[in-house]
Amino acid sequence: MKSLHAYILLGVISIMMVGVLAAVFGDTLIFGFSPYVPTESSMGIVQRIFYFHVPAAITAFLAFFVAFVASIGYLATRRLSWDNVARSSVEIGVMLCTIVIITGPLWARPIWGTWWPWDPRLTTTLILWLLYISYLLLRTYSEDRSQQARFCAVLGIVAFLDVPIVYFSVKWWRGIHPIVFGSGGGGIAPRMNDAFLAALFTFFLLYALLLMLRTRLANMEDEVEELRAELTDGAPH
Amino acid sequence: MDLEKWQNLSYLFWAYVTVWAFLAGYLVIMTRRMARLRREIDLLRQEHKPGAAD
Repeated sequence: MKSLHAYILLGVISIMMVGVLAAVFGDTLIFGFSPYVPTESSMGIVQRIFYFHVPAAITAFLAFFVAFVASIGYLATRRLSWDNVARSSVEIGVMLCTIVIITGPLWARPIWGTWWPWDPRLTTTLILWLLYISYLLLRTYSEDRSQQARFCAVLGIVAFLDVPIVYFSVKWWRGIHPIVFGSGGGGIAPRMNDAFLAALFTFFLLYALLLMLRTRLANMEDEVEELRAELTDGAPH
Repeated sequence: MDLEKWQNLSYLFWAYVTVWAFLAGYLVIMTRRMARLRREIDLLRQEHKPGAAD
């Protein structure tokens, strides 16, 4: 029970840090109405969706990258601990990608006049989400734990190839999705950038916490399976 | 107050609700699953103990 308490404590500390960051940088994640961060002149208050839409997307990419590395780790070593990190990271990545897919249309509707314009960035993001949903579904199709891990590791590597496609889609194909950062990007005001960085840091922190919790859960699931198998075999250690 | 700036507030509201609902929901589901698994592990370990009833 001690480790569970440690995780809860870590969660409370993380939430406190979110509060501190929000107080300093302008309630970005809590209210979004701080006078510190200016309201964008053409889009108005709805532009503040940016402060969690973009950090959620970047953190989802990070989660899929971690899954990609862990999948390679599993194929190289065949250790299930790598697979547990990969599947945990994919699950969190899918959750974050779902947030991106829901908040995007909520921003698009008042600005573009449509919920979903089938822009290259939106389409490739939807494909990315579907690829990782299929990764999670693939786990349910096999009873054999090592076969499950092997198939998913391959899919975890292949699916990650869509991440750079999502990133470069706005440059390769002309769509209506704006480019904010990088070459050709419009950029944002310094105070907006402060709020964005605070939100990004918060999402990274939440990801780290969730990954620790989810990996621990996956290890516990394996432990239960091992104990059950030992009982069935009638060979307790 | 510039009313034009505050238009579309409902979209921002629902976007915030989505983020917090997903994060809170995921955390609750995970901690519940963890508590259930911990109980199961304790039970299985007890059954493993030498002298435990078959």
